[in-house]
Amino acid sequence: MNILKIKPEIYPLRVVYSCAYLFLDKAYISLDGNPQKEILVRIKAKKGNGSQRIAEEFMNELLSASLRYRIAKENKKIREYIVGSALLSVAGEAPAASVDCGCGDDESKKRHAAMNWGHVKNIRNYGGGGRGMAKKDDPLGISIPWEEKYEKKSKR
Amino acid sequence: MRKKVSVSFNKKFYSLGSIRKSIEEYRDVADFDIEKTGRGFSVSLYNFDNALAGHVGEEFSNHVLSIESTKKV
Repeated sequence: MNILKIKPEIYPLRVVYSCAYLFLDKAYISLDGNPQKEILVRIKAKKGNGSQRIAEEFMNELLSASLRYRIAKENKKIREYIVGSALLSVAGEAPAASVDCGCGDDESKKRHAAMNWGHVKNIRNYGGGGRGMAKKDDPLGISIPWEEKYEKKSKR
Repeated sequence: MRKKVSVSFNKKFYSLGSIRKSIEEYRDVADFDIEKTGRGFSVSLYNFDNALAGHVGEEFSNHVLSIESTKKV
């Protein structure tokens, strides 16, 4: 059996857990000690006397896992931004501030901005910027949101 | 005399939830007792197959660690 003493300020506990997980099929691993001061990792090879070799591999893996962890931490915001903008573009949505439905009164604008979908879809599919464009390219009024049509009828 | 294997877990690294979950998944392999100790928990395994006697405790400990790792990472 080999016991590794790991300093958590160099290798965070999260990294130790992920490395331990990787080696569970090769060795019996247990964690002990103090996660703030010193982490003890007990390694016992499942087959033969390979504990020493597994312990060395474990240390190498710790190094690469801590590098991955650091890079992931540093790039977290960029990653979130890329994923967020990719998801928004797939959903056919643009950030709410940049969307203008083209409606005249403020109340309708607010309501449409909250719903977002109807007008943004119209802008994307029909190249229009609101009521005027939708009427021009869509004589049957298919692209006009249901509630807008309904509202007109009820006003009449 | 019935066989018994004890495994101790440091509460700073292993949560009771992970231990309980492992016990649930190992319930066909052995019978279990959990005891609270100063440093954490001591789990005793009984009534397991003779063929498993050599490593049942260590395999159980690995299983708890795998659950704990997936929770933390």
